[in-house]
Amino acid sequence: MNATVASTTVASTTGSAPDGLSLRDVLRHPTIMIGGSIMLIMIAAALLAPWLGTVDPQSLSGARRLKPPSTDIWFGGDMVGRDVYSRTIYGARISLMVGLSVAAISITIGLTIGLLAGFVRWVDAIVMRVMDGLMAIPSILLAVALIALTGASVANVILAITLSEVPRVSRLVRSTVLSLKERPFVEAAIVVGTPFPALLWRHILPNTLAPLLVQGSYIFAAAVLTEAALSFIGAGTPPEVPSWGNMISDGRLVFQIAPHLVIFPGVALALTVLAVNMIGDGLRDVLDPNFRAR
Amino acid sequence: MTLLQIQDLKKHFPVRRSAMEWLKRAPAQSVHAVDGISLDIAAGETLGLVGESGCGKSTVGRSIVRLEDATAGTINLNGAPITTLSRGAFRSLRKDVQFVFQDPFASLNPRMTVAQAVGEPLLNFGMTDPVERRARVAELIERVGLRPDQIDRFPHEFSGGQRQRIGIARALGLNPKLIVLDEPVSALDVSVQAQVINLLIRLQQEFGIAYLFIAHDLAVVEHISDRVAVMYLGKIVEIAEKRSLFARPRHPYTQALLSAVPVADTDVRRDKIILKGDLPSPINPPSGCRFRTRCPIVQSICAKEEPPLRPVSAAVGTHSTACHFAE
Amino acid sequence: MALLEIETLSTAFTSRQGEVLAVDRLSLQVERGETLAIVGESGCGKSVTALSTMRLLPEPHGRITGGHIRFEGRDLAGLSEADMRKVRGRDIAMIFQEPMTSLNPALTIQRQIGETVRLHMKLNKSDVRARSLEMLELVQFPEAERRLTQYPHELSGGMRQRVMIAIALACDPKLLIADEPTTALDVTIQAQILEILRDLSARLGMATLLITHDLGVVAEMAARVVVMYAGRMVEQGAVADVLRHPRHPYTVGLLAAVPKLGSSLNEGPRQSLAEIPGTVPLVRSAQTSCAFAPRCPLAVDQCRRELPPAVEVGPSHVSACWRTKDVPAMAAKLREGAL
Repeated sequence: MNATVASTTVASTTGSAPDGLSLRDVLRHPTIMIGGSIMLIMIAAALLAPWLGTVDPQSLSGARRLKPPSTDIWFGGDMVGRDVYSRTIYGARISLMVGLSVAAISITIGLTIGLLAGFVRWVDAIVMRVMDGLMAIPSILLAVALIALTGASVANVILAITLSEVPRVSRLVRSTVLSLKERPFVEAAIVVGTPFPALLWRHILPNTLAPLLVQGSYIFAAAVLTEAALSFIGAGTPPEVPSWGNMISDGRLVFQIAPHLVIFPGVALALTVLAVNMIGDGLRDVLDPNFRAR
Repeated sequence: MTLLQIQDLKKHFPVRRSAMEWLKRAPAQSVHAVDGISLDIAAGETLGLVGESGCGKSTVGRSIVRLEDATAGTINLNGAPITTLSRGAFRSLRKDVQFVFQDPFASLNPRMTVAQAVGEPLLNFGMTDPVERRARVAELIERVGLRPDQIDRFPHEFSGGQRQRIGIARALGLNPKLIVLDEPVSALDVSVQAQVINLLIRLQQEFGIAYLFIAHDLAVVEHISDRVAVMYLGKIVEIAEKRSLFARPRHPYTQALLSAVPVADTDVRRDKIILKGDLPSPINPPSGCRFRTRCPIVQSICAKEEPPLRPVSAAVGTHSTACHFAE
Repeated sequence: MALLEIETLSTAFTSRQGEVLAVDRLSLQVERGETLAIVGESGCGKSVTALSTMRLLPEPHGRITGGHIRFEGRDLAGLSEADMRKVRGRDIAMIFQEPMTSLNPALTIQRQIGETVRLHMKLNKSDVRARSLEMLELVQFPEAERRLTQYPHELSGGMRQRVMIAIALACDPKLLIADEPTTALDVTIQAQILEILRDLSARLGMATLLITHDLGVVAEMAARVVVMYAGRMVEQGAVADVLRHPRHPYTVGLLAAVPKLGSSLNEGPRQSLAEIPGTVPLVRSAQTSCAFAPRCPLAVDQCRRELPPAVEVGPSHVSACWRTKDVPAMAAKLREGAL
């Protein structure tokens, strides 16, 4: 019993899922279909990078220096002679990893804080003021400050972006919990003697996950962009790491003579963010009853 | 035998002060939702609790199942003090007193099947064997007039009336002695409403459950209740055997309420008592008798002295009212 | 000529469940100055009929698929939106169940009434204010002068409904459509509002189309009533005739399903309420048989095969039932609790 209840709406594959939704309905939603397909291609590229005709993204070759794209060197070469195609493909690994990690970690932490704040009054009073304080600082500034303190590494970039996303998630979870607590079906569960852990597990959590999933996809997209922005201003991943932000940052100096250095990682970045946002919008349409025609 | 005894129950909700009021040190205010009511419910009987919105009738019901914590007063169920027990200690009492909600759509978790929803109380109170639980759910579902093969469906696959039956099945599962029914049929269409009312009456005859039937529809309350209590602005103004109340209401508010109900019969033309104005604010209820601001027979004493709830003479059975001028 | 003449009106909706026919070839007339009630349960098409008449169907899901709505001889169904806007408010006004949602929360009472007056009557500023006050006094709004500057949220439900009525009547409409005007209100407040509506329609000579689910409200307010079921008119006639001598099994069922006030004063044990088994069907296309047949104790084969026409059963009393002759006997049996 708990197994089915705990599974999120999307994960339910049984014929008739909660709210009358099935995985098929979700997948058939047009924006989810398009966004999902782009995302799948990106993920496949990131995973299969070594087998996609790439070379070592760090290797230098004088012959490739500032070469425009050709049948030989598909995306051309950069200022120091690295292969732009290989770096773009490997760059997907960094971007997707950052996006996924930030989304997963900030949701986990935010969910915990939000649930606590929703149920325990003194936690609410203290923690939520801290969260308000964090939210008052622009996320990119917060990240720059943290990187400056801790040094540039992918892990620190993830940490820095996560820190600025956690308040948003906690607030969302908190407000969802507060409104759920007043809903008659939660009161009904209390009246039939449901112990608190079961109340949380059967009634609160499953109904919190839907909006979280939507929020998670937006966080993913924001994290990918923030990572690129941080790298672009030199406060992100170390310069030798092939990340799209680093590539755009390097390429901007020679944009006039070698626009391909910016265009390829730029397009990859835009596509990824677009895809994730499309999935997010689609999920919101499907999961949020307010957006669904009755 | 008295099953439930409420004595001088009060529930005040604090009113949030705005920043400006806080700065001006305005005194903290509270909504006097329930302001000292006492009533008894005997085993197996139905007490109807009527009144207009904001009179506090739902708060009384919610206090009985501890969805609200009483500000003052006591509620005893079979001698156990509901209001003073710890939450943990009260949990075992939940078996005896159940609740049916008004909104059949919102009171069922959209992500739980009928089997899960109706099975939840059973699971909570130790029926851990899934096979046994399913069998019991199927039995309950059949009792309320649904088909046992429907138990794996989700709430959205049912109509409003069917969902209310599911809510009733859930409340029945633990064999309660008392069910608080909070406007259980007011969200339903008339033809479905009749089905649910008949079901409730049948179940009561079968299991001997007592009902606290909270509603604003006087005709429905008259149909289902043995005794009726009328509330106005947090107070009981009249409580009586149903026949005595409907045959001869003594309180001017009850009289106005009864006369205001539209009746689907063109031959019955009754004189209407149309009350002036609106319900006063429950934050600063009127002094003395709370009904005095709208009362057609108000006198100067009404503002000074609060009329106590007292038995009226020449009544059949018990009949009490809180009016200085009721004979 | 009747003031409002609805002729074989059909209104369809596109919903998640596909195409739904909310109103199926409905015909009715509202005479000048009279109050006609449409009664039925949720989903019977009574509100959709009102919205169709006002041409306020939610775009693009709802649309009129056939028939005519003639107001003083002019067909509203074919009117342009611009022309229709002149009809709304000026000739036909409407009030809704939930006055809060139809009032703008950001505007004062004065602005909201004034807007309608200015729009349709072209008055100057002081006249607008005078007219607004006059309207509020007409709906027995206490302390009207002081409350002109209040916002909707400062008013109680009953006061908001008064404001809605004042707005609706500001331009002397010939027809008022009241869609469940008292359903959200408490009984004592309902009594006040019904009294005001009754008084006003008598005083202003305005016709009223009253949409309600409450047969009690019908008895108090209307002269004639149309009973609707599944998008069609099943019975129509003078209120006294329909309530006392119903000639359609659905009307009988509806009347018997509602508990009567004062029922406990009769001797003998409590009778159980008459149930109408089953639920309201979802109509997708023009009906070819009686939609009530699956729930009807009188249904025979013919009911399931052929659509019953509306037949005269008494002076201006019609019923759309193949077995309308047997209905009085059924009603009597139901009263004895034998059914």
